[in-house]
Amino acid sequence: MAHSPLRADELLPLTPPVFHILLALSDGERHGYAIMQAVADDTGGALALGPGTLYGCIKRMLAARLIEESDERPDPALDDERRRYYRLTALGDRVVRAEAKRLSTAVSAARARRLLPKRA
Amino acid sequence: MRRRHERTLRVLIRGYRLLLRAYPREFRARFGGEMIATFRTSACKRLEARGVLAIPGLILHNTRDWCLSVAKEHSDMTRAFRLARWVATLPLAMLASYAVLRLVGLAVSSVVAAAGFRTLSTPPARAIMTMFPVSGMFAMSAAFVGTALIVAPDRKASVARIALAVVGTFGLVFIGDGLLYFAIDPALWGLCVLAGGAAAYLPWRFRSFRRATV
Repeated sequence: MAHSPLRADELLPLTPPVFHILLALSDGERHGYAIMQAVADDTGGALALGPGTLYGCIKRMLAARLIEESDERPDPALDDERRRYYRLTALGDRVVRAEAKRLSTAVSAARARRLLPKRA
Repeated sequence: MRRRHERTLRVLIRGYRLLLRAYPREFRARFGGEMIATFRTSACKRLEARGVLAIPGLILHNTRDWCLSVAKEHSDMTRAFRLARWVATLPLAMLASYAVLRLVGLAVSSVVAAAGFRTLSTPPARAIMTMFPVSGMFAMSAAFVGTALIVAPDRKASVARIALAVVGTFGLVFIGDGLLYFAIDPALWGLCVLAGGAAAYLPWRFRSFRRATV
């Protein structure tokens, strides 16, 4: 994987769609609709991406080298030709981890101020 | 899928194709096919699950998404044009700063010479060092750093980057000097400075652009 010169924390904080798209791709490569579904599942339907928002984010994430297009198609026979699969780059992986850590710190702070219930 | 839904789906896709025309051409060329495929799958699943009752929700959701994303994509294009304009004006800015730096350098070296200090041991005739003694180089270096700080997209440009810019510039200048030892021309001199400055400056600019657009 190509080395990217950007530091992960230079891209933080991420917007919610970008974070959730990266999160969806952390399981493995997916195409656009599968990303949309994963994001909706992860957020309990609170973040429902439309194609415009999704591909706008994908365009910017490709430019920032957070994700890349995958050459392989899991099942070409069953697949629509126009579908492209995307996967995380090493930088994308670092960025999503850094953002998750940042959000986790924020959640801990909210817990300490009793804005959220304590963990069991 | 039932026949009636197939017809509905075709109409919806035709409508969505029309909406896609509002996106910038480059965006449409790259992602249009995928967007239609994604819309088709999404519409298909909703129609299968809820029948025609799914249509108003589908239209509302996609229209809202369309309004927001079309505006965003056009604003991104504007930003890209702004960047391109920056890149185009950079050589002019660098030439102007070169002229200023040259004057400052010569002024400083004259002062140094007037104060009785020797500038450099006799360099070969027509080499850059004759035109621009060490004191002038220092002045030029300081002025270059100042310029770099002023034009840097974020003011937090690190010392290492500035040092790199200066080293890059002077490296290229001396390479140019070596290559053009017997045919030094201020224009070529300026080109070396330009190349060094651009090599140091453009990565800053692109990094900032990338960071701003994710």
